[in-house]
Amino acid sequence: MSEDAKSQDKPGSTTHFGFQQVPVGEKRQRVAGVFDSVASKYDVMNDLMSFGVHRLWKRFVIDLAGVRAGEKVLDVAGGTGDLSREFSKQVGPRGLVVLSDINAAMLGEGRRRLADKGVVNLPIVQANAEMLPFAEESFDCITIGFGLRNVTDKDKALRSMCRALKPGGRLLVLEFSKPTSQTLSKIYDQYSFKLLPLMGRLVANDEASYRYLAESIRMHPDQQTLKSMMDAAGFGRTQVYNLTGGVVAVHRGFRIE
Amino acid sequence: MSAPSVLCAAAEIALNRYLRLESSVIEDCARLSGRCIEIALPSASLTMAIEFIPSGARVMPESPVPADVRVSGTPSSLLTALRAGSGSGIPAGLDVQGDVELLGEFRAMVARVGFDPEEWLAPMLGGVAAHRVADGLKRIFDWTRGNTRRMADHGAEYLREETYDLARGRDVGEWIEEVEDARDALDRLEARLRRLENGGNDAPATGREHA
Ligand SMILES: C[S@@+](CC[C@H](N)C(=O)[O-])C[C@H]1O[C@@H](n2cnc3c(N)ncnc32)[C@H](O)[C@@H]1O
Repeated sequence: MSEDAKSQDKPGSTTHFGFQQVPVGEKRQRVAGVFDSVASKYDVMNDLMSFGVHRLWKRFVIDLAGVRAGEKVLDVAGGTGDLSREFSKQVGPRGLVVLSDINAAMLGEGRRRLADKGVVNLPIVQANAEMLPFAEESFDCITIGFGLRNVTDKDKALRSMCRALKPGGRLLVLEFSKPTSQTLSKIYDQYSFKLLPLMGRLVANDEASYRYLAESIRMHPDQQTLKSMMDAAGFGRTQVYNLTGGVVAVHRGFRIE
Repeated sequence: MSAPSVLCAAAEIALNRYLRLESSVIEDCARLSGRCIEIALPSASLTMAIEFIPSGARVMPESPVPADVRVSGTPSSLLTALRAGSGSGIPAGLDVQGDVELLGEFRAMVARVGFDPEEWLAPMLGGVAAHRVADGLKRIFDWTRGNTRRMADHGAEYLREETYDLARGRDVGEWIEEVEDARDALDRLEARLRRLENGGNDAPATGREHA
């Protein structure tokens, strides 16, 4: 077990859950609670929350991943499987896409949605990003879309993903980040702390979960911090791509050979 | 100043789509793996680096290693250099320092895959007509220093505006559909090219399968 994981697992140690401090062992359960409760409305809310722009952000990730026929791709925290579906078209019959998530309800929703779109031959694995159950050097490309901020020990998850990549393979992290301009930052605060929980209440009847989402976004490391974390976890050529003024950032790094 | 990373991403995505059309070109990329070309546009005070990797190329705002060759010039001299292929020498107005042969190889590679600089951004932008993209590119390249900085600050937002991305203020779903259509059209074009190359007796191919 890693040093930080050890220290985090010490009795009495805490981590953040949104803006609250909770015991480390409890965060995973609480995050699971959030995603259990949003699973069925997840896609509708995603569209509403981002005014549909999350599709463009995902499109950017798919294009930047540059997945080719025959490659092996792992979608970590893949939830309802948006990214997996696109990758499965790109890898073709000789390739492989694995959809994984810690949450069975999200994976169930994912399986159903993939089947609706005619994607049935895609392995689905329930797994914690911090301890991926795959052999070292298994994948050409790993993605984690809007998942890393929910993970308790992010450094451990980054190392675990690096380990599962083949040398030269790439990791793409799509995550909310810090807006690059102050004006945008203010508008965004209003939006996420007022409008987002309101939409959560009206559409999903679940204000608390959406408040958690807004808070967890604020607690997530900013662009530079995440880049340093990736470099420390064994990635190189790490590059940050700010989208929508830094509301969202894509980090791409390569496993150094 | 280094080019904004999103602009590099757009360039990389489009460049790789072309390089991967031809398996021998990908083999060349693998052979040149780790070597780096730096491109500078002093008029826009922009630099960008292309590093070869086994599956194509990475385009980054800065060269991660000392570049093997540095190319600097006006946007039009650069576009001419790329359009002309390897045979025609270095166009006037282009300053090349370092390994000229590496630049020559790159020019030959892009010529072999029929790379069209005007379409550089087209795959990223889907339904937007190529000439409008080219216009957008020209505007990107012709920007003054101040504008360039603004572009860096605003990242994708700015790139979208300046390349006439119609996604803003429009139904995003419709836009996604257009992207898909454009993608399909590109796939069809690739398949047609492959069939032509193989004398018309090839099985349907996407052009990406051999890569
Ligand atoms: C906001 S959803 C993103 C889903 C999908 N990738 C997308 O972009 O639409 C976040 C997902 O992260 C998952 N998750 C949270 N903690 C995780 C962990 N430690 N390991 C793996 N997945 C986790 C949740 O179950 C949830 O499905």
